[in-house]
Amino acid sequence: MRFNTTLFSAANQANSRRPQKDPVPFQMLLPLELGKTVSGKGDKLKEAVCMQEMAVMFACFKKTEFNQQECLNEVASFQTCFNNYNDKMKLSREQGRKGILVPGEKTLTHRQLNKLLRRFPPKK
Amino acid sequence: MNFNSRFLNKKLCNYHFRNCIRWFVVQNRLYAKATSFPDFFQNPIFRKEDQAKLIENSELAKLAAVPVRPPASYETCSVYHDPLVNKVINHVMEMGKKQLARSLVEKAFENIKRIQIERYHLAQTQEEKNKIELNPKSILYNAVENCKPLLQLSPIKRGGITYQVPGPITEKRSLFLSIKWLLEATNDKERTVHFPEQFAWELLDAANNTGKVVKRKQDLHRQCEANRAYAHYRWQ
Amino acid sequence: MFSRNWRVLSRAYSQAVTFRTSEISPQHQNDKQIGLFYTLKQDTCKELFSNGGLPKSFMKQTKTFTETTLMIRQPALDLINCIKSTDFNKPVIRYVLYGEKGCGKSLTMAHMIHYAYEDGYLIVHVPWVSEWLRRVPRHKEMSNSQTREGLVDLPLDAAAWLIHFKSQNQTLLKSSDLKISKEYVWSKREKTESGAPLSELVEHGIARIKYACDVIDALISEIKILSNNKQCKTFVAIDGFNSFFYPLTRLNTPTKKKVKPDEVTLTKSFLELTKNDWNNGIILLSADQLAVPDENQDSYFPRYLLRKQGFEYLDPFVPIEVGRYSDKEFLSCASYYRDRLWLRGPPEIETELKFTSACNPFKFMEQCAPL
Repeated sequence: MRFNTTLFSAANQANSRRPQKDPVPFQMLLPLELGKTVSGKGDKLKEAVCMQEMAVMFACFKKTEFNQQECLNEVASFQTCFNNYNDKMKLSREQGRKGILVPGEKTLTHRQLNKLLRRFPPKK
Repeated sequence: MNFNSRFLNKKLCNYHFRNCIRWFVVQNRLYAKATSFPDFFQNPIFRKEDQAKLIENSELAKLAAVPVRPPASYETCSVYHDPLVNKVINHVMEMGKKQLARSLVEKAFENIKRIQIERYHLAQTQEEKNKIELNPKSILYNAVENCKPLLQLSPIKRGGITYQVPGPITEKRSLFLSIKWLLEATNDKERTVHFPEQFAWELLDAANNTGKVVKRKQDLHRQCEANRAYAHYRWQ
Repeated sequence: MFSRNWRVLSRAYSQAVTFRTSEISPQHQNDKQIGLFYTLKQDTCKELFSNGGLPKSFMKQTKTFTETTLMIRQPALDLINCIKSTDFNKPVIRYVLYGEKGCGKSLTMAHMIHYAYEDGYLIVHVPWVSEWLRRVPRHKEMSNSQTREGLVDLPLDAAAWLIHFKSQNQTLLKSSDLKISKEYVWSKREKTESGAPLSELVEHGIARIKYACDVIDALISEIKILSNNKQCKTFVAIDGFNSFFYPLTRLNTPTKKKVKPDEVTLTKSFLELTKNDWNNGIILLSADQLAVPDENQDSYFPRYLLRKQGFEYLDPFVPIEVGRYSDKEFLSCASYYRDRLWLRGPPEIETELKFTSACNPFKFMEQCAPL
């Protein structure tokens, strides 16, 4: 009768395999307050850029049997789009790295946020 | 003595450090890893044209006190110096045998020139003659330009399945791929054919927008087109 | 578009300097034409140099440039002047061309051969001695000499040279009355009668490769006799002559014995020809660094290259140096290359090329190649 031992073993027994008993007691592993900083994980943009231009380019490619010479306009617009995006990203990254606070800005990078948090630390 | 020198070094370092803050100029390093020169050493300006530009903009005075790395042996003010050619030579090079790589690329240029001059003499009318490009360097430029891909496929894992997702490609990577493909197409040859010969033919083909490499680029574009439905998976 | 402009520019630039002369006969060339290019006629060139005589890289250039041109240079003019004022009743004078690698010794020789051709000489031209002694292709034909004990024959090379000799002297062999002085017996059935034309001897050597070396030996003694009798005047040109005096060749006998140059029958014959015991002829030799192995190329002077033995053998001779380009020659050559589309780019490129090539003709040509 092995299962007996399993069934009747006490809850406080130091056995990792024991079934959980409701209610689960709460253990405070970290102090219950806001952190002083935020991490930068959520900053990554979740968007695919230049989709429109790419679609136009593909349409042109299909029409001309993938001859690039006949789709120069489309190709150029796609590349300028991507270059603009790159420039924009580079600029924002640089500004973010420096953490310059622009008054009235809604979307803040984590560096800017951290700067703000350092200036106005969360109250205990 | 030992202590003294260490002290001196420290002082010097401090001095440099303090000064380099003052000198701080955003620098684009040309080399991957740090060399024996610290990062605040500026890249040399070795082209006469660039120097003239600096003098014109009166920016030379700013650089007067900045520590500058010495130029490498290939960074010359010679009339032949060409950054793209140098890049191609570096791609051809194996085991640091630059002299060999350079001679191979130059032989390829010579072959291109011979082929084109022969065509030039064979051409009947002046118009046809004018159409023939004789400068091997501009043929190289055209070839590399024609082989540059516009898109790339990057593997992205979604729900346990790896999708090949099309996306835009950076300028640097497309240049790299273009040269790499050209060399791969060249090395895919009979053993009896020499590298310069084959390279010359590949460059001429690519400059004409035909040949293996251009086809490879178009194949990539085709695959991107077929996979365009996945493009939304791309996270920048 | 950009390059087109360069081409127009470089064309305009090239027209500013004269680099061509219409004087195509070497007899009439003079000091005024130094540094200018003259064109060899296609059929003359084919007759003289189709079996060798022009360096390989130069042949490539002629193909690309669609013409064969030679620059008129000081050494060739000096030689022509010397030859013009020579007393042909005295023993032959030996001239030795020397100079750095790639300075144009072989091309000066080619120029002189053209002169001799135009002047009606019987030409005995060896394009490159090392071809016999130092170049070992996979199937080098070698055999022990039948007639001379302990010597080695190179029948294929000898036959090839006979063909070269025949094609260079087509007209003379066909028309003139060059007769053989004595009877040569090759074997029981084969012999060449005395009084037969010289061409028969040559033909025999080509047809019966086995006897080619002996034919050359006979031919050379006949040529000497003919010259002495004033029936023809002879022009001997041997490129890479110092190969004959290098202690070893790269040949091996079937028994793996190293062959010395003076154990080769061809060497014997041509050394016999270069003695000054005959008259009514001219001997032009060249001492070339490329004719000996790398480790013995320290100096380009004849005393070093010919070694003591060769120097004493040739003494007295007239040394003639073929040097690098002078400023005028360089400019003319650069404008010729521009005209032939071999060189392009801004004019200041020439200053740099002049500096990097050190005015060495061959190096200059090489460095223009990838531009």
